[in-house]
Amino acid sequence: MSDTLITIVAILLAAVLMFIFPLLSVSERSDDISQLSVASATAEFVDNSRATGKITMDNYTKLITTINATGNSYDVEMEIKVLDENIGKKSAWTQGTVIGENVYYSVYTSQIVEVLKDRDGIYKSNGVYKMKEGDIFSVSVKNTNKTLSQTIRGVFYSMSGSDVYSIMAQHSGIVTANGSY
Amino acid sequence: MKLQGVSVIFALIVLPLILVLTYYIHLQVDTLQLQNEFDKKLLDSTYGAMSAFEINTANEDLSSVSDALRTIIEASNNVFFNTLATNLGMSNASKSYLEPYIPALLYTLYDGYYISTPTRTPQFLIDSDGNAVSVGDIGLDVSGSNYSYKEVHTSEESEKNCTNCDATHVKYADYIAMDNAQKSDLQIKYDDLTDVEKENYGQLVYIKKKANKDDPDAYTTNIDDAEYEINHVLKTYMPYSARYKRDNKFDIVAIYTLDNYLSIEGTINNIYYTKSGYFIPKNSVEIKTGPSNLMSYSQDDAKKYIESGQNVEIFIRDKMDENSGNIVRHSGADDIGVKILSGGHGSKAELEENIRVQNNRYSKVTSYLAQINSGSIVLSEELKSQLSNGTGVDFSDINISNHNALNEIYTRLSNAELQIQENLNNTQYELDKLSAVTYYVTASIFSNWIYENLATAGSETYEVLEKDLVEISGQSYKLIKGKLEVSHDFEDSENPVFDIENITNREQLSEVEIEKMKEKSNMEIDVDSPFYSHKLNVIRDSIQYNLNLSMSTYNNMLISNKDYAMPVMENEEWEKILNHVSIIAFMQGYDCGLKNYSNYKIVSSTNNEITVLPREVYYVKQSEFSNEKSDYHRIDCPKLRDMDTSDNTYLSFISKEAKYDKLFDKTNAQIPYKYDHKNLACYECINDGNYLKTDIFDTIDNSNYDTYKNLRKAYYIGVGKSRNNLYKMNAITNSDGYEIIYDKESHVGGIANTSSRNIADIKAIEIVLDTVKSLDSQENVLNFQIRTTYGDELNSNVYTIVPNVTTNTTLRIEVNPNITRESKISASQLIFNNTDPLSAVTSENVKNSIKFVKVIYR
Repeated sequence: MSDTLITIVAILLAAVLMFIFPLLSVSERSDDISQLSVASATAEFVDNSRATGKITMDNYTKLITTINATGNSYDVEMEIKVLDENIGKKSAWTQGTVIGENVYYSVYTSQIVEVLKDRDGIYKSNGVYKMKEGDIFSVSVKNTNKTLSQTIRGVFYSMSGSDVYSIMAQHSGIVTANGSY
Repeated sequence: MKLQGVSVIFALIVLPLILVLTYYIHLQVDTLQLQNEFDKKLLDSTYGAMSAFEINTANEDLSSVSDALRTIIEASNNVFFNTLATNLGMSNASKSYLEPYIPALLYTLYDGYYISTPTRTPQFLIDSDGNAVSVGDIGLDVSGSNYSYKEVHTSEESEKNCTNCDATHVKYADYIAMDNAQKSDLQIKYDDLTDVEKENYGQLVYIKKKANKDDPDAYTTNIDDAEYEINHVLKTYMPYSARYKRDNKFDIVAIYTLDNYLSIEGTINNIYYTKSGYFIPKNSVEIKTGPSNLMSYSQDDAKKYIESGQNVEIFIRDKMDENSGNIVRHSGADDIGVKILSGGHGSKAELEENIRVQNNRYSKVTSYLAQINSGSIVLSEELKSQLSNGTGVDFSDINISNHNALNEIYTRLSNAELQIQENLNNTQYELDKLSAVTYYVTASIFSNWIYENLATAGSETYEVLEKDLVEISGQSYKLIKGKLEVSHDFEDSENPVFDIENITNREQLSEVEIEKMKEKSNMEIDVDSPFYSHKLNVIRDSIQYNLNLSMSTYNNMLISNKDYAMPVMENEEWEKILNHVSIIAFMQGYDCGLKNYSNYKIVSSTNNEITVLPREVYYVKQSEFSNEKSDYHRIDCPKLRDMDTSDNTYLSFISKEAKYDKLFDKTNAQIPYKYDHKNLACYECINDGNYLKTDIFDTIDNSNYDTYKNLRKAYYIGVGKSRNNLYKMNAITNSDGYEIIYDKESHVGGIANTSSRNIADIKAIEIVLDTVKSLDSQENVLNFQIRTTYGDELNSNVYTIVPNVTTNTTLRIEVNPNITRESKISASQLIFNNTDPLSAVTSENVKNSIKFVKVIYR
């Protein structure tokens, strides 16, 4: 009797060790590799955009293609904090060292993509979204599908909450030049 | 073996494999993340360096003078290292730690570039005051070629400065106690030296290789024996220059800039020219009012004429016609184009003085407005008349004894303020037009000279081709070509250099190219013209060659035997570098996880005082300038277009003025900066930048073309005046050329030797006279008027010569720019008309004493 029980336990353990654990581990490595390429693609996209002062459709498409090539689906969020040049300058200064009076307003993914896609409409953007020196550009990329490793992990334990993703990249910085064609 | 055994072995093999793989991949991920972090930090540090550069150029009036610029760049360089150190989590004193990781920092400026790079420098002997010691200085002793040094503190301060003052030093107290003979013994005398030693007198003293400072022969004057150390230094300024040479026909050096400004120096057919100016399309500017031959004046004469406030109306022919598939400049009716009239409101100096007076008045009125607000004001009779003067607002009936009067003063002062602002705006507009007209006229004169002399082949003129290029930035092109894979080979190229008239069919252009065209007028140099691409190739080769050189020096000092080579930059990046003032930072070798970090970052500047980017010139309606309730715009902003009415005029300024406030009063701790543009930035074009552009230069569509006349005029004035007011480092004060047609002493030419060009091209004639003999001993001064045998009065001046003296007399005879005679001239064709009818000295007497004749061309 006890022999049979041990055999069943041993078979189960063997199944976990021989199949599920390697599978989980390999799928996690696959996520790591995806993470690697997503992080570098995002950083490259952001740094390129802020060095030139413009977000181009070409670069955006390149980013999307690169990250999608990992086999997952992603949510790409862009945000530009546009510097309002009119604040902090116009009031009568009582000190020579006024710091931190900058005010920013934000522009988000849908607004940026609308301009990028609008080649002949109201912006005639030619696939270029222009930023100016002093703006802050940030991009965050998260996976939206469940990757294999997440599914397998889900079998053993589950995590709740909306921020559950295994691939995530974020990059941001100040725009260094006024964008033009 | 049992199944259990097999499975255990399987698990034992697979598990470690997986663990190692996991670890390795994590290391890779970390490396990549670190690399991204470094990229970001490098870019941010470069941006910091650029910000420092921009702020410093904005606050330094002479920021474009090379010496001031050098200090600004050194400051920017320090900012780069400090920021990088802070970003990398080190103390900002870690500059020397980081320096080995930075192979080069490149600053590309308006007409040349600086490279900051590690360089081997010999170590000088330096005293505790920080001064370099040379042979003959106190404390230095010599025997043959060996030098020893014992520091002597000749002042109390020097002793205080001394950080490692030891027994070998002569203390201040001991020095004071010495008598003169002893003091003099401390110093070596020139006369006491042997011949070999004398040669080195006054030379700098270097520290010998591996020398101990107490050795009797620790120092040397021979640089080959000196100890070298590696320092990050800012190398000398390199101009974007190219030399063109064809046999003995021409040999010129052209210095290019980031825009269409260029300087040309050199010999064409034995005439030595020094010229600088803006290069603009042929026949694009015409004179409508003013001297019809203003374009044949020299640049300086034309500038003087326009700045004197005379009426000059120019006509900019910017209309393009689509003929046979190509876009060509319209040469038709007079009303096609933009007219700018300057003058009639006083000279430049008068207008500037007017602005100064109005500004003083303005600050007075604003300070009184502030006093009223705080409730304390004393309005004297004198002040009342001062305030009324020039503002048209009467203050005479004001009595401030009652409270209502304060309100009344407030209203009137506000009116006065508005009135002064309006006067200021009007005067500023006149001044802008004056500068713009000067820009277009002098640019045309310069460009015509290029078209005539360097862009058309003739008997006395040549078409400079790319194959004539022999040197780039002082380095032989053949050598550069041997060491560098050049992007374009000039050697056998028949392409003309000075050709900008290659306006192509708009339909052949890509969308982006058309967008680029919209941002600039037809007066700018086309990006696909041979001149533009030639200029870019020259600049690119020059930068690449010198950067390569710096990198190889860097390689020599690398301790590790890994070689570092200059990364290959993409075309798009070059485009950026060659159009903007930029900083390029290279970083290499920093430990970054599994590998060494190696990358470069480029930051371009859009707000500085040393270039004018047409896109970054902003416009405000003249009547609304400096009004807090209105916006400033880019020229193609739809808002600007929508509010344009038929007779609008605009004032303009460059982006830097809005971005950085100029330090206007360093002593005023309260308000050291002055924000002089009260207008707000437009939310559509300045703050955001994504809007539907108005193509005001669409000259093919007639209806659009006429609609945007005001805006085009504003653009031409804005860009023209900004460029004209830019201080240029490589500007030549007098753009001219000269030819020596007679030099008695060197046996060059003769008195009858004629100039190679016509009188119409001559700006002045310089004559050196030997003793002019007068038989009348009472005659101590001779007065002459000079004309030619053709009957032309060269000018109305009377020249004075003192007779019978042994010294030479130099006469510079300015030639009236209105003389258009197409004949050559020699010294023998000059007539010296003696104004004293009784004098015995004739024209022939004077001519016989001529010993040197130099003709100066326009």
